[in-house]
Amino acid sequence: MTNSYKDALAQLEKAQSALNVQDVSGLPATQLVNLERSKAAIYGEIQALQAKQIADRDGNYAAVTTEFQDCKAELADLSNWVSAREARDHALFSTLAKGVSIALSLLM
Amino acid sequence: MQRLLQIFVLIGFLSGFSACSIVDDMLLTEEVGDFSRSVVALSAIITKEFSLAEEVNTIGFTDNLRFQLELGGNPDTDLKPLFNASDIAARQSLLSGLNGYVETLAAVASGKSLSSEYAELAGTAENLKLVSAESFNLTHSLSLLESNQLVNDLSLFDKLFILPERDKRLLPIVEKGGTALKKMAVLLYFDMGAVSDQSSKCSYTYPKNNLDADMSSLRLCKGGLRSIVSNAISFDTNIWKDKLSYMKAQGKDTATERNAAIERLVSIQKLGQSMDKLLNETQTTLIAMVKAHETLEVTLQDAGKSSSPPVSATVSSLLFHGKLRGLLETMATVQAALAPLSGSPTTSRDFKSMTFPQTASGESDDK
Repeated sequence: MTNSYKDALAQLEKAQSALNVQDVSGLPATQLVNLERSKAAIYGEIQALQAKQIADRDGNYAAVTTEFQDCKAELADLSNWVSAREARDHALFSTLAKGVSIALSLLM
Repeated sequence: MQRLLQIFVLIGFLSGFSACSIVDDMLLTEEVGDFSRSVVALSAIITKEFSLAEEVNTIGFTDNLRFQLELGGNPDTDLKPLFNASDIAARQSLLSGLNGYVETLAAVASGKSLSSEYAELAGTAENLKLVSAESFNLTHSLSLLESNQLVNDLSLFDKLFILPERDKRLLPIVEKGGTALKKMAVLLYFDMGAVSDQSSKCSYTYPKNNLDADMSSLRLCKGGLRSIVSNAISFDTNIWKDKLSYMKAQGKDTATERNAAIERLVSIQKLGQSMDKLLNETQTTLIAMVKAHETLEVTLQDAGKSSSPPVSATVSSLLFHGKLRGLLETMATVQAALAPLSGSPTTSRDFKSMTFPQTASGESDDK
């Protein structure tokens, strides 16, 4: 799916909100590291989009920070972990799954 | 109430001396001098606000780094600043232009020669010509065309800096400078931005703003420095929330650690509230600055007809100085709140010690 820069910013903020409301007490340290790194990358991408002028706001979005481009592995790892737990703990990790899914869709 | 009293005292004072043109000239010189000092102080605050935003960003980065390391992760250790050098330089050129303009006004009003400052002003004018819309992201609330229109004519000031000495009369300078001053104020107003949408049109297009109208009517969409700071505060807040949850789940938290984390969580949110108040007050002070300049222009136009400044000019001027004093107090609060979080010594004295314009009663506002 192609996003404009304007849409991407809205999607990133949606992903950030979803990840922020997730209760992390049920996450093992390895997945919490993935989450914190992903959150930092999404935060950096949002700040970059807010601080820099994008000449064509409606143009096709491509990640502007290397941190966000590089956090695909962490997001995918989180996604796999959530999928594996989904049958058992779907309700516990639904917002995490949503946030990860939105962020990953921007990196496709 | 105190401010109202000051206004009435000043009005009475001015009426009492209305027949004396020497006193009027002195009052006008003081008025222009006060306006100039206030604008320079406002510029310094705006410059500081960008470095405060970087400090909050650094706090979030450091806390995230620490937490990831505590969890056994391998975090990215390169700090990314929010703004690059050219972004900051563009804003600095803008503020230097503003300072150069009001210092020119003060010098002309007091009859001083500008020749000694000419080299600096010429440099400022050159820098203003280099400012481009690319250094500002105003696209949260304005079309690219509107952003360019705001940035394009900023070098209007340079024509005022290079006026021959014989043409350096206050009224024509103020009349010409008003347009550029308002453009800069509007640009900075949008650059400060908003933490949430102020118009229902934001989700699909830009709010319909008349950039020539009263600045109070401007409607912004989420974005700009206020949104950037809000996001930085939220980022750090969430690190501490996650940390508290993790410590609790692991059963590793002692009462001391828990209390320290809670204290930190609350402190960063309080800092966020103070910083947004500071940025919002900066926007209202910019509006007051434009109004004070407009009434200064009216005062000068009426100078030949009447021997005392109109009441509206006096009120606008006092409102601007009042807003600025409030802004300086909020800046001191922000710096005091930030110091323990960033581990730097308190620097609130920097702004507390700034020279304030005198009040109507003649007392210094320097507290």
